[in-house]
Amino acid sequence: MSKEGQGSEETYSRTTIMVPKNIATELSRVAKARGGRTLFHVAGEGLKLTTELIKDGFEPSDLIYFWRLYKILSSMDIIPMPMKLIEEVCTHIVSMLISFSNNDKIPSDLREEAGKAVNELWNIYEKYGHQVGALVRMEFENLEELLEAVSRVSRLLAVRHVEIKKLGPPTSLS
Amino acid sequence: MAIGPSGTSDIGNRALLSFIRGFVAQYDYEVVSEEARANVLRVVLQKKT
Repeated sequence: MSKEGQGSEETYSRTTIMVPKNIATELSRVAKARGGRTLFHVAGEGLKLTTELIKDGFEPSDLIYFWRLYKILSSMDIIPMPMKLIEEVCTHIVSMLISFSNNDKIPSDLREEAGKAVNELWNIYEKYGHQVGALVRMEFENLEELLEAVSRVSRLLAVRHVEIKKLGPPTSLS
Repeated sequence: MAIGPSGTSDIGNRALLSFIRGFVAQYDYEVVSEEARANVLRVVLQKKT
């Protein structure tokens, strides 16, 4: 019996499992680099996490995709937000602007500005799509690889379902 | 590519589509057609030539 875990009183019984040598070597190197933790402790933590993921129906190998996406998107200060909130705010603003632009009682220059503002709003969405795409491309160079990754972790995203079909020539995606 | 649930309003779909258009442009793709039905947004992408 042995006590491990940086002050934790939790007691582990030791056992021996076989893992590929390269994984054990890398884990040992990382453990030492992170404040001199023992391989025993880091392996225990890793297996505990893996067990939780599998119990919840995830494949740890799939979640690596999610982690890769999360790491790059965190550099854009991405925050989780209910999709309904974004949609309601957007719908409210656009409906109001469209109402202004169609209202004959409002001066024509203001109506024109309201119409332009709607188009500008779509441009803002497109601009951010472009920026996010640039970041994501640093990690997933190929769109097909990215879509495959997204379909594997879609349970964790606002998008609940992603289905990809190739149409016709190899350069088309649907 | 089918994405669901998409925005539940036309405006939500329009916003999502604008975002997708900008996103796929980074991969040299363009949206050539789209269809929104029952909370699913279907877009057809084509590699830019």
